[in-house]
This record gives sequence, C-alpha cells and structure tokens, in this order.
Amino acid sequence: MSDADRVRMSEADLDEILRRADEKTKAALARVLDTEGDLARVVAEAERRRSRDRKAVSFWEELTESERAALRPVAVRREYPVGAVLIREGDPATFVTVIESGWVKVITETPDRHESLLAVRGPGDIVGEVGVFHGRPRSATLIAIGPIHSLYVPAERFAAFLEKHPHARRVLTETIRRRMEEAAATPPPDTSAHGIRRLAFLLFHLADQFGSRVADRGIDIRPRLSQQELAGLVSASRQTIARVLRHWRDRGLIRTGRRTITVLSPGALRSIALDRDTQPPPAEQSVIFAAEIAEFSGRSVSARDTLHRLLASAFEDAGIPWNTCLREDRGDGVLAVTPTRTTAAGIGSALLDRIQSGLRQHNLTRHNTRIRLRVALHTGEVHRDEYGPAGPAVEHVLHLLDAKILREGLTGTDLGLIVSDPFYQDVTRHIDPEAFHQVTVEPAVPRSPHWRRLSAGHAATATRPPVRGLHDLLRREFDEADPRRTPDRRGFVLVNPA
Amino acid sequence: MSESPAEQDGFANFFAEELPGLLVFLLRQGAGREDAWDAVQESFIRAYLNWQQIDNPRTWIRTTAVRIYRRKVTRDREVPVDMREERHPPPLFTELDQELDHDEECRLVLGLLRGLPVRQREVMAWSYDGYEPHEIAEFIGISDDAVRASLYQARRRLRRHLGERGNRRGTRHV
Repeated sequence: MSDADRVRMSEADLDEILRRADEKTKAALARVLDTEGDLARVVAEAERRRSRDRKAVSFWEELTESERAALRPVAVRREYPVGAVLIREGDPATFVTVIESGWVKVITETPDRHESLLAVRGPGDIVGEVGVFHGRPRSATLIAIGPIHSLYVPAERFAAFLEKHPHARRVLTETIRRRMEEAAATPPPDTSAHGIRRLAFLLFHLADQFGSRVADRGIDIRPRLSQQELAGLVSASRQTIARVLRHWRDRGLIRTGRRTITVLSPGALRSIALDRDTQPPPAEQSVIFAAEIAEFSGRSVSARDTLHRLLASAFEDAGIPWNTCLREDRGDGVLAVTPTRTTAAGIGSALLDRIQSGLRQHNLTRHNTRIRLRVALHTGEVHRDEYGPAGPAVEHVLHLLDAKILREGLTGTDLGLIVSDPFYQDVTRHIDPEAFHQVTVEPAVPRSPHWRRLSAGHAATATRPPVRGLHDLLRREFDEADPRRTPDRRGFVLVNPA
Repeated sequence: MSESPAEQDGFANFFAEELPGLLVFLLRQGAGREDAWDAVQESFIRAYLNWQQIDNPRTWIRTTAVRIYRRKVTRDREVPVDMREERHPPPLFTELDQELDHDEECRLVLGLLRGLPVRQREVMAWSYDGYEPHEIAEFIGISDDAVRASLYQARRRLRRHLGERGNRRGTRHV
C-alpha cells in the first residue's frame, strides 16, 4: 500500500486539471441554464418582496398615468421654502395639495402653545384631503420641513376630478382609511409625553410610511434628518436626541450613520411610543448644586457678587469651568447644574473643599463682609427647558436646601452643607464618610397640583400606611413608572464643616 | 418611481456572469443540488434588493449563498425526514448530467471535491474561485495557518486520487 501514499501528480498538473474542469463545467451549465428566465424570476421575486415590504404606496403613485395627466392641468404648481405653513389649523378647507418633492410635518397646537407632531408626509402624498372630504375646517397645521414642490388643487376642481375618475376616488378613500387605521394603531403621543416617546413615534412612523427595506433586516428611513432636525420635530433638545439614539443603537433597535437611521426593530420603537417600553434610557447624570446666602453682613459690596465670585473660583478649581454649568440666579442664591456625565465621584471632594476653604478665607480676610452659606448637592437627571433647569432632581436639591435641619441645625458655622443620598453614595469613596451625619428631611410641602402632591403622599406612606384607595393605587403606579420622581428623603449633613 | 430595473448598474451582467459559478461553488462546498439551487436564487434576490449597498458583489454573493445554505441545512436537520418537503430537483440538473455524461474528468473532479472532509472542501471551493488564504480565513472564521493546512491536505488528496487514476489508466495501456 506504500504506492497509494505516493503522490504522482505535480501541483501544476493539478491546477491544470482543476482549471479545465472548471471551464468545462461552467460551459456545460451555461448551455443548460435559462439565464434570462432565471434573471426575470429573481427580479420579479425581489420586486414582489420590495412592494410587500413597502406597505404604503403614496396617493400619487397609486393613480394611473391618465389620472395623473388629468389632475396636472387643474392643479397649480406651488413651491414652499422651509418653515412655510401650507395649511393652518382652523382655516376653511378650500384645497388639497399633492407633494411632489420635499417633506412636511403635520402638527397640532395645544392651548398652551406646545406643538404635537401628528405625522410626516412626503413625496407622492396628498395632504389637506380630510377637511375637503368632510367639508370641515383644517384639523391640523402643515409646515414644510424642507423645500416643497407641490400641486395645489382647489377643492371644487378636485371634486370634479374625483367625479370623473372613480378609481382615483377609491384610491383617496383608501388613503384616508389607511391613515386613520395607522393613527388608531399607533396614536401620536400627546404633548405632555416625554421627548423619548415622541422620537420613538417619529422614527416608527417614518419607517412605517417611508422606509425602504435594506439588507437582511432593517428599514432605512427617509427623509434624511440631522439630529438637530429630529430635535425640532419632536420638540426635544439635540442632546436628548443624541443620547436616546445612542441608547437605542446600543440596544440594537436602530443603526445610525451620518444623517441616516436604519430601524432594526420597528416593534420596539412602537412600544416605546405607546409607553410600553421596559428599558428606559439611562439618565444622563449631572451634579446639581444649590446655594443660598444665610447671612450677609456686608454693606458696600453686593452679597450676590461675592457669592458668584466664590462659587466661580471653587468650581473652576474643582475642574468644572463655571461657564459650562447651567446656572440660574435665585436672588440670594444660585442653582447650578454641571454638564451631563459629571458625576459626584468625578468631582470628588474637590468642590466641597474649595467652597469650604474659599468661604473661610473670605471670612477671615474680610471681616466686614462676612458671609454664611447653605449648600445642597444632589446628583441626577436634569431636564432643560426654555426656562432653565427643571425636573424632580432640581426640585429635590431645592427641597434639601430648604431643610429645617440645615436652616436651624447649623447655626454658628459659615457653611451648612447637605448632600442627597445618591450624591453621598457616589462620593464616599473620596471623602471621609464619618464627616457626614445621616438625617431625614421633612417631606416637601405640596405646592402644585401635579407630581409634587403625589410625591408628598409617597413620603407620608413611609411613616404610616395610608388607607388603600384609588389615590393610593394611582400614586403607586406613578411611583413605579418613574422611580426617579421620588428621590430618597435621606440627606447627609456635614457635621463639622468649619 | 421604480428604483432599479434589472439592467441598472450591471446587475443583469453580474447575474449572467456569476450564476453558473455560484452554483458550482455551492456544489463544490458539498451542497445538495436542490439546496444549492435554492440558495443561489435566494442570494441573487437579496443581491438585487441590496444592489446599491454591495461593494464587492462577487464575494458578497458567495458569503451570502454559503450562509443561506448553512441555515437551510441546519433547519432541515431539525425537521424529521418524513416531514420534509418533497424535493423536485430542477430539470437543469438532468440536463447537466447529460452534458457532462461524456466528460469523466469533470465529473471526477467535482466528485472528489465533494468527497473531501468538510473543512477541506470548504477551503478548496474558495481557493478554486481565486481567493487567497488570508481572505478565506476571514470568510470562514479560522486562522490563516488553518486555511493553508487544509488547503495543502485537500490538494494533496486530490493529486493522489487524480494521479492514481492516471496511473491506472496508464497501466491499462501497457
């Protein structure tokens, strides 16, 4: 059998045989294959899948060529720049518009002047048909979010067109029916909903209406929108958009590129839009700082001026430039929010040290302008709206600052300091935990009819189980829905700040 | 508003050029005829749908076809034999057999390739289509050295079998 192990053929000979066999096999295949027929079958199947995957074909695409030819001469071509109002809510419905190119947002304005995004319409879509169809005033406002080329058709001419073209009439009623179905299946979140839900709705809606399926999975959405544009559409900050998109990308719900978003899981986005999501994005943490002047003995110099200078240099020394903080002047106090992703641990004890030493130095050297400060620190997510920092975390820090123990318990020292539980937990690795004493802060006094009252109720349950009732159930549901809204009432007071 | 007719951007050309090659590529990988044919069609459908995004169609269609074939085989294995769909091999294979009936060498080479151990026939199929060991290593997720080793063994085996055949034939005439 030793012969069998002997390889008698050279590598070159093998290559030659392989090449020859390849040539002949492919030639034989080429003779028996019906290449043209197979190509046609492949293309037909691909096109079938493509049209199946693109659920909604636009009004204009659904019309026959002759219907389009009949509609064009009765229409007026109109162009609109970005931001132009095509239709205004409440106006009489006197025309319909077919969008040839460009995109519009469909919004409604709430009584408190917040706008709520209802839909986005794009190339081939008909808009303004509902009012004309029902003979009612406009039910929403349409604003161009890109340059628009459109066909403007006066209502009576459109009616005459429909009269003559029964197929077009069916297409129109089908369009209206489909839109109503979609709106019922995935209603747009109301204005009070979090920006995250509105963004989820927008992406789901775009994928559903205008997405084109790519690769094995995923729907590329049109139009291509920048984060700034997305932010404008859902009335959220660009930072929020960036953070949420990042979170969704990490979760595998979307894929992002420059101005491109591919929706990988429309179902998950829909759940978020409908508020059925189980994984809210992590809060982007900031350190929230509040200070109030407890006593100021100066006469010639403004107390606020002193305070601001003191804090600016303390923050600067702690590595957080004062001008990168979101600040709010509160008369005899200051509220400051550090840039996101600053953690209490990151600041460490530096900030506390600086404030303490700065204050001591000031009071030692300028006896005539002695200043006493109360300071509260917390860490959490801060919402930023047009009026400045807001949200439960801000409420909490102000509540801590207002704590009785801080107002009354620390007389005789220059600095009264209270930190929240989360802040304390974060910094214990950097400071002497023994320097702080745990306190319980009295519950906040209800000031407004919404969550604060619920929060106060929650605080009450901590000491005494309340009578079970509807209010209790609602409150519990509320608390579970967003635990961040009921920050721990524990605080930590610096025992010996001097 | 149809976005890509078949002729656009050379899809039709690509199809005509690669159709026989892709089919043979899968057969050399050891795929059954029906499975190979299904995977070929499916990969071209996907290639068509994603035509604009594909940078290197020749490689793309091969990796895709292999993946589709693998998935199919794995899935089928989980289905009891008598539950499997009845197979109707496309008539083209009968015609192909007739075409190659008189060409012993062609049938022998394909038979030998399909008879190699899995890893070796996999590596050979890629190598046959002109891919370098480092590329193959990337496609199938093994090291360069493992590719080279498999390739060496596959070629050695082929040389031995083909050489034997030559030898037998040679002796017959003596």
